[in-house]
Amino acid sequence: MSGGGPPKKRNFKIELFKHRVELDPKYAERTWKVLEHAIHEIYNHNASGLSFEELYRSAYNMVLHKYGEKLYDGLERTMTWRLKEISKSIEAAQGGLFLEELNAKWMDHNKALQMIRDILMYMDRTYVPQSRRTPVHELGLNLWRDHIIHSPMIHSRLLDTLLDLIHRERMGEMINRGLMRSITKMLMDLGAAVYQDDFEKPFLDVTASFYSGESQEFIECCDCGNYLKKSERRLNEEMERVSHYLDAGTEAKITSVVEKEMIANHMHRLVHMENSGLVNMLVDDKYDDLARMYNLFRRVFDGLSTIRDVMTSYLRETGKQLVTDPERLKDPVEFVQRLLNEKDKHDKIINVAFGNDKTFQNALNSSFEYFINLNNRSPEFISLYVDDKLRKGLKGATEEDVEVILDKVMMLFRYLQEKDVFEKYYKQHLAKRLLSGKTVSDDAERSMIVKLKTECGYQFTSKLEGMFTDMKTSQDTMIDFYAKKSEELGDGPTLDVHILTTGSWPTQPCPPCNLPTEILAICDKFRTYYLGTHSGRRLTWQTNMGTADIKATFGKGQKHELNVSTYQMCVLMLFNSTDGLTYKDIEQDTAIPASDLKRCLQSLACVKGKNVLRKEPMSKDISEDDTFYFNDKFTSKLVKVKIGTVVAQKESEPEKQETRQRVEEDRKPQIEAAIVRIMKSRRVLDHNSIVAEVTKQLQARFMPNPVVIKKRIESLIEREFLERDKADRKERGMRLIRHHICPDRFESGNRDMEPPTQAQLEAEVEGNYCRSRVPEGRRAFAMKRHLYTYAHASNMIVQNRFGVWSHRDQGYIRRTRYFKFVKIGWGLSRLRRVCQQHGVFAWYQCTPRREELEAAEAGVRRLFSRHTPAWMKKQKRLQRRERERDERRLNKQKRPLALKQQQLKAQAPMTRAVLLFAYVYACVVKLCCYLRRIIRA
Amino acid sequence: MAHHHHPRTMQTGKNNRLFWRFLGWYRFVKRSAVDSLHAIDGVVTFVFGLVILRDDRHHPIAVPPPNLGGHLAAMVGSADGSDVSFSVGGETLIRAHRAVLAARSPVFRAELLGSMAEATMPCVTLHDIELATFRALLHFVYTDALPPRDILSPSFFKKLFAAADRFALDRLKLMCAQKLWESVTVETVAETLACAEMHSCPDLKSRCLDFFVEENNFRKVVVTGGYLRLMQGFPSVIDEIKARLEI
Repeated sequence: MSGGGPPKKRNFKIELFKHRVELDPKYAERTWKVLEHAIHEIYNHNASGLSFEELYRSAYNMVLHKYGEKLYDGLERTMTWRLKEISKSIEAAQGGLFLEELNAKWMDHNKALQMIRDILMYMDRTYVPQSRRTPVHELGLNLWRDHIIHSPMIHSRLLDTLLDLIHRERMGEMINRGLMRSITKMLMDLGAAVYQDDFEKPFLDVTASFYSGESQEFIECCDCGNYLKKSERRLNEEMERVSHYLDAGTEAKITSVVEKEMIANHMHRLVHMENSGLVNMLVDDKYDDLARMYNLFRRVFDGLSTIRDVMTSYLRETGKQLVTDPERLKDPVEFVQRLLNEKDKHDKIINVAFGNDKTFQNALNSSFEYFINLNNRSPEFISLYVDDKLRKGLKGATEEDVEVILDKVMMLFRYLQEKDVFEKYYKQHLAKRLLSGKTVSDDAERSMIVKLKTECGYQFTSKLEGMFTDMKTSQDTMIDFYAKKSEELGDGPTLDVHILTTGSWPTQPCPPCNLPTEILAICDKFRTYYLGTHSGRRLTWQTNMGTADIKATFGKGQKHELNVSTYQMCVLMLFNSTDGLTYKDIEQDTAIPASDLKRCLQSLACVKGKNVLRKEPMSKDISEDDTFYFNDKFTSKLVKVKIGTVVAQKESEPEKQETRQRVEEDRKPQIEAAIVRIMKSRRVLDHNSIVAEVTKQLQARFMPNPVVIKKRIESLIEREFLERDKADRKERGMRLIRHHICPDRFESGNRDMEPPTQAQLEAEVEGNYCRSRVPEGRRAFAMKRHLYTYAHASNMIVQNRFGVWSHRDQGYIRRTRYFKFVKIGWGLSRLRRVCQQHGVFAWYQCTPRREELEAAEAGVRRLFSRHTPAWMKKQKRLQRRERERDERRLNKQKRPLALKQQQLKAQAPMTRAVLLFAYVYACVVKLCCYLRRIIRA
Repeated sequence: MAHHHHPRTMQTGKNNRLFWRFLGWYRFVKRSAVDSLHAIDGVVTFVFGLVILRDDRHHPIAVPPPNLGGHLAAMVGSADGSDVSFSVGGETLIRAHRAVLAARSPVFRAELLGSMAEATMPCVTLHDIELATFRALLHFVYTDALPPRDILSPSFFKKLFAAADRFALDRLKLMCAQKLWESVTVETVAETLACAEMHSCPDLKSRCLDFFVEENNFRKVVVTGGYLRLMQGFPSVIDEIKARLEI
């Protein structure tokens, strides 16, 4: 650096090197002394006397003159020396003062570091990045770390002190959180690695051993609820601790340690704890405890699934008891109500305590589905419950209440596997309700139907809806009947007929009983009326389903109105002529089936308060030797007496068997349809896959039995709808040979609930086949007219005997007036060619865009699509004449080939004219100059 | 000619009904076509008409341009609200505002708002800086621009460059570097290079080097006095020049 010679002539050079001149060899040494002194002063809290300007300038000059390294090394040396001093003073601090001293010194160091960085800012900015050294602030931190935190005397003492303080706080003492906070912040400032290695890891270890001991202690002496409470409190404490004086990154680690020690390690023991475990909580509806358990267990792996498994097994167990207990099966309404209550209870638990967790809801649903289907009478009972509610239960309830109840029932319905059985029963019960006029609310009925429809589709409810329609039409028919025939009827008994469509109603064929003559007369009148208005129908009287109102006068002249069934009416009418009749007589006169007769006689003679007949001998049951008398002494407080038939609410065992059989029969065509449907799309399928697919398809309605499916497959093979794959007989590969079956027709074809016969199937298939095949060529005629509109006309290019080919529509359209566009289109394309041949380069050279061309063509077409104006015709005529004249002249003169050019030009006028029209119409002014040129040419 | 009222597109599509009314070319034309048809003595005249449909809703309210610099320029050296003064080059006192200086330069922040003597002193003495340079520097600090004087010599910019480096005003430094670069000649390049090296401005340095090693320049530069001093003061730069020449 020596020999920076004195400046010579140029001014700015002199100034630039001015400092250098002043430098003497000891300059750097002297300057550094000043700075070193300043650093010591800063550490001694005497900074306010120092001049920043001077110090900064000194450091700046040192760096400027390449003494950066000396400066940096000096700084490092001085700082190290100061820190060693500080370390000694910290080590000397006694007991509790240790942390205070450490913190105080740390604050001092930080402050000093700030000032040192300021005065050495120029070095930090230029020398440090150039020579890739640690920036001043970081250097200060590193030195602090190495000489204070990692000093052997301080390192372990610091850790022990911190852990001891935390332990004391866990045991309930108050500690200085502010101090803790600044110490941990110091560790973080020194780098995440320092915090983690020197504090966090040992802290987590100590925590784990602490909670492992404590949880053991708790679980021995507490019940489940208390244990959970304590764990929750501990967890919250730890999280609070992190938020108060630890780094936020520690929270996840510390909570996972606590979770593992307090919960995961004791999970099973807690759940199964006797007298206070999960099951007890569920039984006693302990929402708080359950919520706490849910929230804590959610934190650990497998926690929720443990709860769920226990809950599921508990639900299944209790549910099973509920549905199989023969005591509880006696009253269907009570049975369903119990199920609903159970569902409500657990819904509330899941809602309140388990945060509406989807997986828990699924577990609940699957458990209900499991045990409801354990009892095969569930569908019947649910239907009975609805019946009960719709008959009387909903009296006085508001619309919302009805909706709530129906929704709940639908929930149970969803769990049913045999939905078709439910449908069967529901139909029966609905029929009874409708015919006896017992429905309380029409809206409620309809609402139920709508719910079923949304759940299972149109198919499911079409017959139920048919029943409602029948009721409505019957009402209209009766009004009409009485309006037309009232004068013929006189004042005989009033008849109210319900006309039931066969198939929609669950009617059993029954021989009609002998009606009293009064009734018979009006019945005949109705029959003639009805068949007169509706030809081709057959009426059958279902006497087992009707009711009658009778006016009766008893011994003391008291009059009563009796509400009885049709059968009972027939029996009572017999007593108009005699006083006493034997059972045999009654049976003979009325021809009522024995079981029904017994039941109706029982209700007439044996029910106290409603015994309009007297039986001899007096007994509860009807025997064939009994004699019945008119009961003169009948009294009743009511004017209207309702004599119900003794109806078995629940089905008896044989009835049940019968229903089941009918259901099985109904399932057959459905299974067949499903098989055919599947085979139609899959062509070849092995047996097991068919069974699986069929099960999947029909699940929504019922669970098909694999054995039944197998039988159906065999039946279809027998009827040659399927065939066994010959190549692979072992695999039971099936191949569909008739593949044009329409499955929908197949299903809806079974209106009368009988499996289709071979002939029916064939007919269905054939009919359907014809309808689906619309001849290809005809489709074009179905196209809408607007497709032929003007905008698309440009695309009509080809025509032949089929019509006009529309490029846009990719098909032929009819010959119409648009036909002529086609001709013009063709003319234009030719026109273009002619133009080219004639050397009219305007078209060709500027290569008009397709749009322009089309626009021009469209313009021409528009022109021609209207009536051709007379002046244009004239012009054309003139052109033609001119051409002919030219041709004649040419022929006459027989010009040589060289002159052919001229001959062609002679054709040009026509071309020009058309072009002109096209562009004038399109307002394409730009072409005008071309045209002018053409004309000039 | 803008017949259509669509706000943006100038070209109408195929399906646009206004197509019929829209006139003009959509694509390039062959030159020969233009020459042969439109050119009169080799000149083509284009006539344009433009209709701008103004919509007041989209027309913004007129906002005047920013004038922060102008207002702050009035504060340079002003006594109003001043809380510190600088003594530069002997006696002259220049008024200034601690807050403004601290906001602009980290060096001034440490000096004026730190905890050393200057933080409480009413007058700060600055050494090794000329009055004119400091005034220019203050002007930049307040307005973010160079002083609006026309004649500012390269030597002045060298001083300002050094001052900007000293007070960590990077923008000013680069503005000066640009001025220096603009005034680089064969005579001055060596000095400028030395300056760039000393105050660590890599941009200016690499440009000067490029200028330096050009065949024509190099021969002239090596005989200047500046080059000799460069050789003595900054041997590392000479090494870099050598490395460039070898390439």
